Amino acid sequence: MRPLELIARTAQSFRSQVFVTRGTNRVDAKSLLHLLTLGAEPGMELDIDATGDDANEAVEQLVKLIGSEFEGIGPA
Amino acid sequence: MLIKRGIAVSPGVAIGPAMVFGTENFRIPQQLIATNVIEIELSRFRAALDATCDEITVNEQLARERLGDQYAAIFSAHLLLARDQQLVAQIEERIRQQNSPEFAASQILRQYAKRLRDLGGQYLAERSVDIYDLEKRLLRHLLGERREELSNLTAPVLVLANNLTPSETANLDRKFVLGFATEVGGHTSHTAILAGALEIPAVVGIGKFLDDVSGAQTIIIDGSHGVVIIEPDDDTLAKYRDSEARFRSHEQRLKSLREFPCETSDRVAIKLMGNIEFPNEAEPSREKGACGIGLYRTEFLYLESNREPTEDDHYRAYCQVLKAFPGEPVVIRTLDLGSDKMPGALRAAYPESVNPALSVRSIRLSLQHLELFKTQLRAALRAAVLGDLRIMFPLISTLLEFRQAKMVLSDVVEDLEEQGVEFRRDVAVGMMVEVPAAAIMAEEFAREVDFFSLGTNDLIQYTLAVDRADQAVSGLYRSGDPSIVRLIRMVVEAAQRNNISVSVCGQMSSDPMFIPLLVGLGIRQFSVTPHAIPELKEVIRNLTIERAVGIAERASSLEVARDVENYLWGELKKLCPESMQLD
Repeated sequence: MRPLELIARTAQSFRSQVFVTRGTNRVDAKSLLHLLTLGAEPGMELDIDATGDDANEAVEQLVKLIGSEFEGIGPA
Repeated sequence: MLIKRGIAVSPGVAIGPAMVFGTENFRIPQQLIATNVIEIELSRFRAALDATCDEITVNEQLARERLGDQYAAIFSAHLLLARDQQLVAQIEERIRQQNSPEFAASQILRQYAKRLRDLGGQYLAERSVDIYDLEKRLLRHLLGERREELSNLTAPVLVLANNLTPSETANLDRKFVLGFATEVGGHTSHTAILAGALEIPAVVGIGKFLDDVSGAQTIIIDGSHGVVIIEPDDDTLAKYRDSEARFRSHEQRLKSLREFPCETSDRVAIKLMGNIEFPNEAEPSREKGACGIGLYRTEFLYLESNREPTEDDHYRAYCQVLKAFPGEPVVIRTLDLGSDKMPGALRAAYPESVNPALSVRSIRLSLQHLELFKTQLRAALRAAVLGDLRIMFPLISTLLEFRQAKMVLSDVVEDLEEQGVEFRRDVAVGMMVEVPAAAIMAEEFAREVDFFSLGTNDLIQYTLAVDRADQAVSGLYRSGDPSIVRLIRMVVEAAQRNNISVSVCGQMSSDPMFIPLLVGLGIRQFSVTPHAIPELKEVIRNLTIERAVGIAERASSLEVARDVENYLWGELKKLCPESMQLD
């Protein structure tokens, strides 16, 4: 699975609202379509934030996921 | 003035303004909706979205089974897009603001697609293609695969399209559609056959030309010669107006033949029956002089909607045709679809075949899906109570296949008997002879079947190894090829020896040029596109059996298709000089 799909699916597994920001562009991490509009590429810096009862966990998981550089997955 | 040439499939001349009909661009019927239907439109959108997701899920499963997880992942990404909450929310918001679901979905999806493409890079360009694909799928479900424009015409037009589906063609409003021309298609395409039935001048297989026309330009469609003229000059226009008038008077003359029996001038009766696709063609066929239906193609029951037709759908359709022809034969051909045109439910089960003509189609499909097959057979046997219904199996290649099909039929008979349903058991069962193997084995087949019907379209395609719809080789498709003449003779002789009837139901028999040859070979029954009946009747009434036999003898001695066809053409001119003046 492509990295962005993995991000969206991971985000969707939490109740919290989760956002990914690149520069001034902040989008819903649960929306693959919105994630695509970030135009993110390997090596770029992304910010992640979340609000909700499992917000901490959500951010932690996503940071881990992105930090692992999507091991075992093909290029973006 | 620009002249384009294609394949003439339905005679006559039409002159009028062009209506250009795009290929992939679905026309969105309306942009705005009334406030009191917002809820209804919202649920229509959700239903279409669900249907779209179901479709993607089926594709995903198929890809997984056949190709592996890697390929299935493509569809799981599509599903993620289709179920994107942001996207759905945005579209629903637009609908609440009184946008039609079609308009809202199209606008929003296109915005995203454009945005991704503008961001650059191959990955995003590919995703934008995915989004356009999603748009198309959604619109298809929303519009029910129907293109709205054609059913809502208010003024006469000439329809120009890349292609028209058979259903679209069948539903053309004859009051407003004066003629049509398409970029793709061949003689034997269903669209062409229907055009003839509707008596709308038509030219198909022109190749790319839509870019050269714009809507409302004056166009001439000459369906007799396969010519389309864009923006004709005054001289051309005058010439065609004249030939349009002459064509009409020719039609009038043929109409007057309606009163006379269909027999040769030495009083041998020749039966002309109609080929139809839709039950509502039955009545017009009878008006044209058909004495029965020699070929009722039942595919449209399967193609018209995405669900499988029920037994009652079949039953109702068959009854309608039988009622138009009380006491006269109505030959029902069982499902004749292939991997290029699968009925809805089966589409997912068969990936596109590399070579659909040689793949799972027709009787092979029926024998692989017995429930589907039995449903049709049950309906046919029940309807047979009303008249002279006969059952015909298409694309039979081997005796075993025919026996299998008959076995299924006797299972159905048993079922109906057990259930105490009213039906008729002594229904004649015949086969199409359209695979060379069947023609070669005609003698053996003739001992087991009740009748033969020569399906020349496929017989020629398989014998000469030519797909007529393929422009690159369509010139090699020759009905007059000596191999075809010989095969027909073999089949007729086998039928005569075994005392069963044999008719010709392919396009070849709708061409007046081949009638003397076929009569001379011993054919006494034809099933033809109904509009051709008056013209063929004229040929038959001018013919004697002796002359026909002579023509068949001479034609059989020629070695190449061109010589056969030239000879037959010459003979036809001698037989019917008046009709020939039109060219």
